[in-house]
Amino acid sequence: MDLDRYLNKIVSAFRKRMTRREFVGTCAKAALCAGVGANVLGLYSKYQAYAAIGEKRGMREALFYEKISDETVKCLLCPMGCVLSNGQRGFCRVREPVDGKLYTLVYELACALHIDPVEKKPIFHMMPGHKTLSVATAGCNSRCKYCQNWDISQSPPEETKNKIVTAGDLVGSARTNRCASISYTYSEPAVFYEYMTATAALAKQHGVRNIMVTSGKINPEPLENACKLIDAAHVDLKGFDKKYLKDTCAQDLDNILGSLVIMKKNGVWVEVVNLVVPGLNDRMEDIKRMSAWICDNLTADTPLHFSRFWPQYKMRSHYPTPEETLIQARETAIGEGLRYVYIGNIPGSQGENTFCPSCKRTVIERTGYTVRKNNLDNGACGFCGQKIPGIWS
Amino acid sequence: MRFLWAKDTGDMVLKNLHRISVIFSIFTVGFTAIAAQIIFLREFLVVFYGNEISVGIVLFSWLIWGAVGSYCFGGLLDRSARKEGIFAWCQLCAAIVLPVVFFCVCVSRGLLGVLPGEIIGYIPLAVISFLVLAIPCILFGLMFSLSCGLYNSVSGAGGADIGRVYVYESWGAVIGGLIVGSWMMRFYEPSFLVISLSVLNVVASLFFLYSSCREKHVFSVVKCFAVFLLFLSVFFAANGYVAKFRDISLSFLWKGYDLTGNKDSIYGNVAAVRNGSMVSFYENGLCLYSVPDLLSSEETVHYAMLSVPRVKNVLLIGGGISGRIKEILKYDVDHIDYVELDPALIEMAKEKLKDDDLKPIVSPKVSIINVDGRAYVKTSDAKYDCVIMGVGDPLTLQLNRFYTVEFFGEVKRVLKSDGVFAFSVTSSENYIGPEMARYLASIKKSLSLIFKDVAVIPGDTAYFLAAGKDGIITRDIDIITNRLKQNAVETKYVRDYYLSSKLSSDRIAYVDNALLSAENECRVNMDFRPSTYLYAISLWTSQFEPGLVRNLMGRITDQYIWLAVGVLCLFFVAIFIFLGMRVRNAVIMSIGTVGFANIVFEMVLILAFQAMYGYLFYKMGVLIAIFMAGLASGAFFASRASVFFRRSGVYFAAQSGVCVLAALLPVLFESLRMVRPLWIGADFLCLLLPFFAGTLGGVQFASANAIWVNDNEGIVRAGGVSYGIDLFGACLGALLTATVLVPVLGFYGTCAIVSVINMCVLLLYIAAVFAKK
Repeated sequence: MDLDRYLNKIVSAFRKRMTRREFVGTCAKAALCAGVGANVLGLYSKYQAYAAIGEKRGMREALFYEKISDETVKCLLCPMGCVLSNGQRGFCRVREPVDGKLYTLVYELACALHIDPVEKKPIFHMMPGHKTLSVATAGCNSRCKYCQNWDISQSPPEETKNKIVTAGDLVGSARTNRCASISYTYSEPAVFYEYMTATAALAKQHGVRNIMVTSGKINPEPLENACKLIDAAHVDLKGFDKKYLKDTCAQDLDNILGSLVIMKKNGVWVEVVNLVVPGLNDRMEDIKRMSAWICDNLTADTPLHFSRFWPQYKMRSHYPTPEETLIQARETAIGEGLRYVYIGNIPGSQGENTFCPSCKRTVIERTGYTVRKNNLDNGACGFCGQKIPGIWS
Repeated sequence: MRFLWAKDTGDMVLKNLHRISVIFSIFTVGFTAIAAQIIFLREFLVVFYGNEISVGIVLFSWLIWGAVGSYCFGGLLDRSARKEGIFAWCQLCAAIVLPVVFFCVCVSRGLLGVLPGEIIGYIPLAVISFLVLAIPCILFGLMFSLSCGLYNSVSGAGGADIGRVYVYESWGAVIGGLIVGSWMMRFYEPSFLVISLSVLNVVASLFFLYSSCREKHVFSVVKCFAVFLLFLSVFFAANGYVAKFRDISLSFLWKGYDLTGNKDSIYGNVAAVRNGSMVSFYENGLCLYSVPDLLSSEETVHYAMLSVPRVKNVLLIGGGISGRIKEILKYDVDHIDYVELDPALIEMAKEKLKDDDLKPIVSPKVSIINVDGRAYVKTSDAKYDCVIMGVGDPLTLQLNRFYTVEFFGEVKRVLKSDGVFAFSVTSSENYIGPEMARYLASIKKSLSLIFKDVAVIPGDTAYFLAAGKDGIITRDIDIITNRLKQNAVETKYVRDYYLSSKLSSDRIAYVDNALLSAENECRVNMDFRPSTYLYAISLWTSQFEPGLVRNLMGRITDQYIWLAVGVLCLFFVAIFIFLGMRVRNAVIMSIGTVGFANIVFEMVLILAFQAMYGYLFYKMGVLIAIFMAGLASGAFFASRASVFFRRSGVYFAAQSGVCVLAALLPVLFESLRMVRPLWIGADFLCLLLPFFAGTLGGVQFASANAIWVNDNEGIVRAGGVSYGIDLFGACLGALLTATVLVPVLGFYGTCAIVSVINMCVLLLYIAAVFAKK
């Protein structure tokens, strides 16, 4: 037989007209095959999930979940509210139920550990110039398209290079390296909640402060609990438009704003950071509304940082934020009554300094991550005595 | 079915005219197909930011649909009595579909809901290209099949007609590639070119229709429609709608941006976008530089410049318009040679930059040299104190050439003994994962083979510094800041207040350890084994499909590929035996394997010559045109050679030639590399080899068709089958060469695979011949 005729036979078979019965029969067979195939694949992927968490390091029973059955749980940590079957991974990629119990997979399993100046977080009203020990695990419950740390935030722990760093190790390391605080940062500390709170509790006992660098995408109850341990929070308020937040970051604006209010109410020192992305969230009307909201709901003393977008991750073909946009944003925010408005990544700009709202003099002068001059006197302006809010010691 | 003409002289003239119209139509099919391919590829690259993988994916879609059109639809119409009418309708449909498809490509980002500046992965590209290219490619495939029948109706030579049709179609492609790809793209917008192609097809259709039939009422509907389309095109052109079509396409393509400049050159598309005082320059849809961007400019320049005691002569490869020249001129330099391949980028910068930013570029100390950077370094006799490179990450095989051991050796040659070489690539400040570590480590490993001292400045961008001696490069903050003062250089970012964090011992130790631990897992990057490209595309893909990369791409190794080749060969043998060990079957299989080989040769030759000689002499379109000319010439030769030689002998020689050429190419490349190239010799080889490879492919295709098609019946089906199989082999070659074969196996391994697969089929042919005897 000739190859081409053999192939034509196969093609002709597809072109042949079917009776209704034959058609239904063919569809049923195809559906059965597809179903079997899907189940095989599903079993395989479940097997992979179990295999993946066969690595027992990092596993600890999670807080804030609800058992629905021996097969299903509902996570209550963040607004995603994942309902998960055994072996199914949550949206954050780091929580998974086993035998009806939800586990975090990143307990004491750090993948990034560095010492940074606190100005880099940025946190400007907390012990200026001190070093902070920064720690992160894999996973995140957002999907920001310009994430600087996408390689850890958008990865499950089995795909990152991790090592066990206990709470005790972290606190010990902070003290050894003279870091006045520990920052839970880079990815999203809400998703390594258990690790963060355990470390924060121990840190507090040893006089080390705790900073949460978060998007604020967390449910109220866990947040209220965390606020008892956290001293300061940098909250990324990435935009003030619901659609933009949803499309770009998979976040809900109301949830983030609610988190801000909870933190403020619980006495956490809050600094809000807005990453200005040109063409996407740089409209001055939105910045005005955001500033007004902060003023009304968090007080005019809440620092607001405008930071500059650099092409990253999936947005690497976008251009960086022009300097004048940040300057204009700052002016808009100040116009709405905010007293401490900063610009990041533009060294030498006025937006790096803290000014006394009363006498307008420079209380803290910064360039980049370095504090040049500190004219604070016991938390007050060294010139006129006006109280400057923050954590100064 | 033949058309019967009256038997007088006038009818002879008409008969000849009809024959000419058929040939012209076939020529137009080839012309349109290649021109449309070039235009659409360019648009896909701009919309999706492309590299060779993207090209492979688009070509795969193009060729597979062509195969479907040729094989399936061609087969369907084999016995149709209406081939002429259907062919004319196909031409008119192509005329309508081309601008529609072009528009669809332009709006595809909007349809996918993609943000401005967002890069999307390969899967959306694959889906969009597969959907959008279906209709035009099916039409092209179908038209080839129908052409075989039409040509047969005017010549009656049976299987040999397929070869002749292939010749005419290939020449159409050659001329189309040269005219559109190498010439018109420089001066006309793609939207205009697409409309022109539509008009060409309408004209060809009208010519064909009016010459094919003496009775006016026959084909009256299609004739009317063709005339209508012609008038519509004229109306569009006269009323400026072509320009409006262009504007609308651009507005979709650049939605969300204030596009202030757009140029197409033979190297790609260059665009400028403005936001306030900032101007950003894009090449093929990817943002290259923004001006002003002090951070990048300062870091790229000053870490290197501060390492060298006295910098007088600087070579800057790429990135000069981004502010780097301004930073270099802060030092007391005598001269800067700025090499930038695409003059369109410089022209755009001159039009769009403010005086302050433009002044350094046009400074008398700066010489702008519009050549390929690699070729310049290879042939320059100058010696530099500092070589700074800013060409971007090696995300294409084209760019990978700037990160190979061979190139680093060439740079060292033009560097003074205490000179410093510097460049930057994407990295991560806080976490270096396995893919990133392999990527960076392979670059460092390659650099370390040539330079004695290599250091990496950590950050979201990693800055590599290399020197031929120890003690030149420094990452010490105090030394750097002191040197800044000594040189009286004002900077904003390369200052103690940032460096204290960036160059802290913790950060330096982290990046050094991360790269060290990955060095054993990664390979050195070489021209003919582009390992860094493999790691770069793995890293790139992991942003979109992390599971795919870590589970699949990370596991594709040489062994698995050779295993797959072994399985394929066994499959061929099994099919051959199962179907009765017939000569025809071996020949049909060889059409597919040579289709695969043709694409591999085309890509490997272009990439290899680029690696060795750069873009200095050749534009891609010219090389492809030469290859296509070889195909056409080979097919022509085969059709004539049957007079003097046996068809089986010609086929055997061609098939063997393909195997031998694939095996010899690595030897040839190695020999060329060892010899410092004489330009005339290189020039000659760059013309000869693609032509020779194409000729072999053309001879093989035509002679194979002459063997297996042994009757005049079913010529359309036969043409459809062979063209379809040829295209199927080509589409696999297009997809696999850039995605898997070259990155994993390198050029030599890829050539070896081509040789093995074709040798397998050749052996089956020999077995069939003996079995027949």
